Amino acid sequence: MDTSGRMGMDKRKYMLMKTVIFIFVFAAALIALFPFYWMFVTAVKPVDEIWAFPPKLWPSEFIWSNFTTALQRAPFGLYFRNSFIVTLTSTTITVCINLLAGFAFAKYNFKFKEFFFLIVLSTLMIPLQVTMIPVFIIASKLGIRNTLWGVIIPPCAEALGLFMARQFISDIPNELLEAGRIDGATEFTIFRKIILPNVKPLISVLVIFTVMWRWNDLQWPLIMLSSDKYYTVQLGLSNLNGAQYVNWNDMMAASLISVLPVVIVFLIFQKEFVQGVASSGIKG
Amino acid sequence: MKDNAERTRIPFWRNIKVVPYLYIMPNMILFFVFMIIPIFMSFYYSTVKWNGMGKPKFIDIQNYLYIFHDKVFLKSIFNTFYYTVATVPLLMVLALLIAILLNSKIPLRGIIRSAIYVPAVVSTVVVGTVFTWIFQDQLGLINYIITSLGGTAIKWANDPRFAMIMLIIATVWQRTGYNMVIYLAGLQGIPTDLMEAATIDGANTWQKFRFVTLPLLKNTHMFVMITCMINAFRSFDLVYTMTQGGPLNATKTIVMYVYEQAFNKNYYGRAAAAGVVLFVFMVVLTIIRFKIEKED
Repeated sequence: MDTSGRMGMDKRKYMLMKTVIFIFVFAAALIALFPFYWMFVTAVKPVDEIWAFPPKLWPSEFIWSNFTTALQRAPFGLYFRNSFIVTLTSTTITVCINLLAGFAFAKYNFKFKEFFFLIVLSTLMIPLQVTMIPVFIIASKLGIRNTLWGVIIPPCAEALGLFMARQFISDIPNELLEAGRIDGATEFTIFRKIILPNVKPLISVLVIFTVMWRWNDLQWPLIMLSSDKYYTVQLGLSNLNGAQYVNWNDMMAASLISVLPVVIVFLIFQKEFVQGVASSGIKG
Repeated sequence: MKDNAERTRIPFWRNIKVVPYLYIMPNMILFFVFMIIPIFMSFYYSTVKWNGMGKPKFIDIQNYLYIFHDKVFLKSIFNTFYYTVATVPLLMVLALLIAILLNSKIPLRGIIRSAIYVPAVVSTVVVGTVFTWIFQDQLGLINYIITSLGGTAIKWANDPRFAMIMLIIATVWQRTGYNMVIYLAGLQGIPTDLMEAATIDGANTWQKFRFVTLPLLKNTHMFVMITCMINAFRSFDLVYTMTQGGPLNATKTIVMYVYEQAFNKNYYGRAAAAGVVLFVFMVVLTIIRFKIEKED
């Protein structure tokens, strides 16, 4: 009887602990989500309620047209178009060249391989501010400054994706490649017909990470662009945030729209995403 | 003979000796043109006086002498360390705490984990914009909460004492989820029989955490710490969006100083010199990182 009483105590203690843990993490999740809610509420509020103090936690009516006016007012429509072009083009380029280079580093032996790999490694931690001025000058000389190409091309080579590609491709057994060679396949056919079909998870992780990074990037557009017809969403938002008079309806509406593509990509590819982040941690 | 003749007939792009170079070429060209060569050029520009027009004039170490006598630059070094020392431990403790709690079986675990991670996929510009609005002096939500609790409103972005705290809060909000995922992966790596053994030995929850979990996560702690430090040192977007380094240089970090010297003031030489100083900091961090990894 004594033991069963203790068991009961333990169980109650256990339930209490679970409840406390649940309340704590649930609160953390609410804090994480609250700014999104606030973005939404501010975006759809009538203008006069923006200026109301105390702030209204729930708008008296939903002005859905705030989203369309925001897109028209500042040239956000144009900024979104530019961001789409930059993201799609640069993701395509980055994923292709990272797969090729990752393949070369994983499966070939060649002279200066270690040297080239060291070069890749050394680029990992260099902040853009260190190389900013020369990059600006080089881009001017190449005639790509103040064009979308100037935003797209320079950061296309990127070490982290290359590491992931090398890591993943080295797990493909060499026998598969040798079998291909015996059948008379060229090296590029081996890449196309043997490597690519075997690295689909790698490709999705690379695509997701590159899309996120390029869509969210501020620094390259900021350095490369001077005329606002080429501005990306992030650059447009950032400049408007510093303005004297800020129209919070528009700002929050545009922010929310700009967040949608990445949040949707995240929700669809959650598993790949978390695995990608986690494996970068284990690797390091 | 015949063999030789056949080999010469293979076009070079199919030669197995040439192929790997072709495959790494696009990456390597981009790395060289936009990373490696610019580093060396930065060293050169740090020794010249140049405003973007005309010919650069060689002035040896004058730029370095200038920035190290510039109160704003010294302040920016201080601010960078302040921001780093404040954000890194906060991020580590919060991420670890939430990861451990989420590692137990509770309802809605998956949804809660995703929710806490979501801020990490949002652009820093959007984070900066939303937090500017939440911390706005007259209409912001935070000041509303402070005043309704009986406090006085704080001019967050316009008060040198509070601007950096605002940036730190925004950073912690944005990056906790990312580090939590890394800690969760680390926790998965802890063998369950070790925990069971500790339970049999009569260890309580705190002792298990203190003597089993915490030491076994050593590698994860190191990884999280170093990535957080590197991110703190090169964090630019948030400062640029929220405060532009103000008020009164209270949030001017080294990266912000470099940007401002180059693109607002056209002192390209001084900006390059400050960039070189930043480069030295990054090299030191990198060496520490490799030292730690070697030891394991």
